[in-house]
Amino acid sequence: MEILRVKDLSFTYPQEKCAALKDVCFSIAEGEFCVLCGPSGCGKTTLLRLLKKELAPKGSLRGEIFYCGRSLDELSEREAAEEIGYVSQDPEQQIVTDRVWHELAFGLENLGLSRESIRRRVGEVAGFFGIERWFRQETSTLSGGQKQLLNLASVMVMRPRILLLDEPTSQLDPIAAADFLAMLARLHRELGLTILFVEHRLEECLSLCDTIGVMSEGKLVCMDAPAKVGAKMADGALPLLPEAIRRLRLSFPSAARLYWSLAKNSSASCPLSVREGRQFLKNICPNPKVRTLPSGEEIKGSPALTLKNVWFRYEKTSPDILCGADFLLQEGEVYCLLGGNGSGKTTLLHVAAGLRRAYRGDVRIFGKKQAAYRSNSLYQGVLSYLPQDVRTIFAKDSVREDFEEYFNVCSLSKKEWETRTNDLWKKLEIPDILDRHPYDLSGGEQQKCALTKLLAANPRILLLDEPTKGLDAYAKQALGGVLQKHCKDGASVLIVTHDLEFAAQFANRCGLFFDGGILAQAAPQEFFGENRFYTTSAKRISEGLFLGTVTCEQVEALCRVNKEEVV
Amino acid sequence: MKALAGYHPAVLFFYFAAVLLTAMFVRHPVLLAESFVGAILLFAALESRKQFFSQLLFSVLLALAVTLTNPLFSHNGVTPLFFINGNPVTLEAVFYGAAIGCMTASVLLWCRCFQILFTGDKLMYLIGRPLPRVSLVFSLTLRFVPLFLQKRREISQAQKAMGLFGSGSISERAHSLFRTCSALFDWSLSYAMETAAAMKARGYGLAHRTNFHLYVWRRSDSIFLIFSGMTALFVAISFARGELRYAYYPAAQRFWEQPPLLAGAAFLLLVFLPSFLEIKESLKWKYYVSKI
Amino acid sequence: MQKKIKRRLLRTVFCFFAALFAVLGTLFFDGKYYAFVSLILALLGCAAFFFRLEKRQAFVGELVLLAVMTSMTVLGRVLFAALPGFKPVTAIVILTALSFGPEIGFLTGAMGALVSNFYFGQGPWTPFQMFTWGLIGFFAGILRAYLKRYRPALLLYGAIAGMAYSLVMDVWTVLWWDGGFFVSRYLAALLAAAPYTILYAVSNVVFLFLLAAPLGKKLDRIYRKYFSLSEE
Repeated sequence: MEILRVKDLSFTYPQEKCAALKDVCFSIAEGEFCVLCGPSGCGKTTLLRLLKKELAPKGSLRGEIFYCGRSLDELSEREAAEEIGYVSQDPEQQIVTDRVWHELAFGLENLGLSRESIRRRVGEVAGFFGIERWFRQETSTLSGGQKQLLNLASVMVMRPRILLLDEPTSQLDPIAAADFLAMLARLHRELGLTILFVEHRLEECLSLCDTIGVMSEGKLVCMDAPAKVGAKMADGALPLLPEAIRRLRLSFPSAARLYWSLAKNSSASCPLSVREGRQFLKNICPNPKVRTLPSGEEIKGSPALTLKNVWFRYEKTSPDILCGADFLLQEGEVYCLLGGNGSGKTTLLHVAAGLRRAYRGDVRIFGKKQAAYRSNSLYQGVLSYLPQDVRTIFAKDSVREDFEEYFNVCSLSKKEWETRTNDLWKKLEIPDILDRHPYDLSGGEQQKCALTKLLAANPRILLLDEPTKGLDAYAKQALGGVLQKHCKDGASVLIVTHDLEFAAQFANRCGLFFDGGILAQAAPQEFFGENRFYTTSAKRISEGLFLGTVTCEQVEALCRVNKEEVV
Repeated sequence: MKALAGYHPAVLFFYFAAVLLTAMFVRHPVLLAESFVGAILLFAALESRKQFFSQLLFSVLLALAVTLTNPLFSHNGVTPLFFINGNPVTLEAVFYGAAIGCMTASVLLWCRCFQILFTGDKLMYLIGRPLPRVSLVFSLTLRFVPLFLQKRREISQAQKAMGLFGSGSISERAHSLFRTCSALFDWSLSYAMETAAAMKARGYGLAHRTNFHLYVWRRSDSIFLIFSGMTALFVAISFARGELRYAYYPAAQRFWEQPPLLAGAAFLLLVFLPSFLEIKESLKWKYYVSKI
Repeated sequence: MQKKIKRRLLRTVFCFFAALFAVLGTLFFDGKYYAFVSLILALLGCAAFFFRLEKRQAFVGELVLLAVMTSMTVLGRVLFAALPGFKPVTAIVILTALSFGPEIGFLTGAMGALVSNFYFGQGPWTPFQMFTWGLIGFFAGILRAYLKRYRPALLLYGAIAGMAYSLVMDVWTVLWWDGGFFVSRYLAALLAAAPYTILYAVSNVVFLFLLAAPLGKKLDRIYRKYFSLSEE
């Protein structure tokens, strides 16, 4: 049975010329798990919000949406709230009350259920989601993953028939994201729940879903079973420009990307998981002669930032977060610091940036003691820090004012500043947003805009905390390119991230933070090449076949080399 | 586990309302003394030793200060002790000062105990039925305040790392604080609007909203309520019959000649009930622990 | 429209007389329980506004905004805890009232007092603080047409509000102390609190001067973005 049908839906935001959605047409059957993907700004979030009556954006709308055969407008407020569940990106913003149990009960209170039935439902759901242990806690004490799980639970407690999710894992670390996806898979499998899932990172969720819809520039270009979509993306079956196809492909799993670039005219079906990818690779490259790539050149710069035997704790009686940490950032390198959630990576950044003081140890910046930088001289052209919540960077009512204010404290000429910002804007593809309020921008735009602001001042050391959060695959490529270019000019970048693919592709060195210090560090080929579990999917696919290939590009290159040998 | 904190919010509220009203508005010295001692005992049972002693010292100093300053304003009374600038300092004025000081200190202590036991979520539950919207705003506020404080710290760190947070002169610092708060205001407004959307998405605003809570009414709640209700009733009856009227001026009444037996005894039971329960509970707990 | 204004006027008059009654009652009528009567009046005054919020139509966004503004008053008290008397609380209440009207103004003041006392200590003063801050917001909301147009009037209102706060709270101090109202004691209390009274007035003027333009702009932006098309 069809639960949702969208017919010729077009939508334009007020004061915008270009339509955000153009003639979108699809339907979802009951019990289906459907993933909608596409680069950011393609209209997928707009589409999703239009399906949830209470969140529908304002603007001019054409076409129709049917829920269970009825027009969405005909639904009573109660039905709309109860039967269509919605979980959005930010785990924090959706929490209403200050206690976990109250948060779970909130939706049911709104529906006017009796105390007894609320009790039963809340208890049941808390059990299913494994929330019992933090049932009475304050919501502010939860981790990001717990918060998002709570959001899902407090929507599920209302027993919706269809669940709409808007990039729910984009703000989570990989482990919490995997937990969340596992919970979704369980809901789908055990309850037969219909799920419509918007995501731009398909690596993990593709194996769970029944259908994928691919969106590009406001249009739904295709919607089919994953394998079929994979086949369609290969040749020119889609009415899209090659550039648009290239962008769409970036968000697909490594296995599929290898297939598209290597299997020209192959009859094999498109692999999607690591297992299928391995099979595919073995078929096209059964006995490789050349198994390693020449390792990239090592960067030997003079030290930019050094931490020696640094100890830090937040309060006198709290445990040590940094225990004798040693760290070296060289000039001209991109360093990616990886590690578990809450392990203290961000604290290390804070200590390095001088925002927190280590109680013991030595922090030097270009050989000079950190404390020797008087007042703000450290932050003027020497060191910049991008926090996780990039909105904290903005303090003015428009992007233009904000940039001007920052320009005034930077020691750059007006001309230099302008060429730098314009250059960055072009590279990161930021539209014309100068006169808009920073908080009116989309999440991705905020991220890029904040980065531009910091990079334009040309800092010699740049510290970034999770800069790829919420960015789509294409924007990540652009970001990586910009950072590498910045380092070529002699600056150094330290990135704290959970994004292994990004680190493998763009870092000169990677480090693993564990137990209060840096456990291991090496160039990405060696770093991820040694790992079996904590590594990229390209490495997993090529495991046993090649040595030290950690990105799709490297696997491709080796395959090509071997083919030429055969020929 | 504090024994009293486990009681039903309605019971706790009734108890503290009864005690506070009596402690504030009955000015009979016997009841004032009882209230003072009861408050100290309960506070001792609830607070850590260090907190207790610092607060006790403060209370005693406060009471002393009031005792000593009252005669400077009030020259009523018939028993002059000595003269300052030709104005008499009377025994009655000192006595009244002591009574008021005692009352003020004890009310402050009761309020502290009330605050320890009657946390925000209990208030939220209590006003949830008659005032659901106010209760919701209250709940949101309790969630927002720590969140905004945390965000303010993050914003000032981010601004500091851009060299935009002056920490030199006072005017620089004030300007930085102003900037931070302005940014925080933007942040919280946009945050709150998203929260509002999430609330609507989960059906807030539908008719016939109900109220959920985790409190259970136990037998001990009934007993506590009946006991405190009865004793409060006796105090009220005594008050209505005028037995608690007491004149400090012109000459202080001799309260021991006509003691308010009924009210005195009832109020004594009322104020000592919670400390008794606390002590009983901690002894019981020690016993149970010894069996583990 | 006419009806709405009339009702609003009636409410104002009621509040005014309630306050007047509290003061006059303690001055002229014989009896001993002025403190009690004034406490009940303060509570009733707050309750009237709380129940009014429940009865009327209210949007989710409005409630959340109320919570944000309340949190801001609390934050104002926390962030300026080091400077006694010098706080942006009253200024925030007044500016909220300018943007959202007398009712939200009262509620912000009252809730702000209640919640911030969870951090700074509840006491018998809580109801009075709630009522006084609430009234400051309420009257600012009533007069908002003028206060918005004339900046000096706004600053003057801030100064008066600061002094009025001190005057009213001192009335209560005296009632508490003596169980009756004595002019000599009241004057002494006023004198003792004079530095604070001046500080309140000055801080209100300073914060209103600093915050009026930026805060108003931000609130207007939010109003345009979230409320103008849909709800109101």
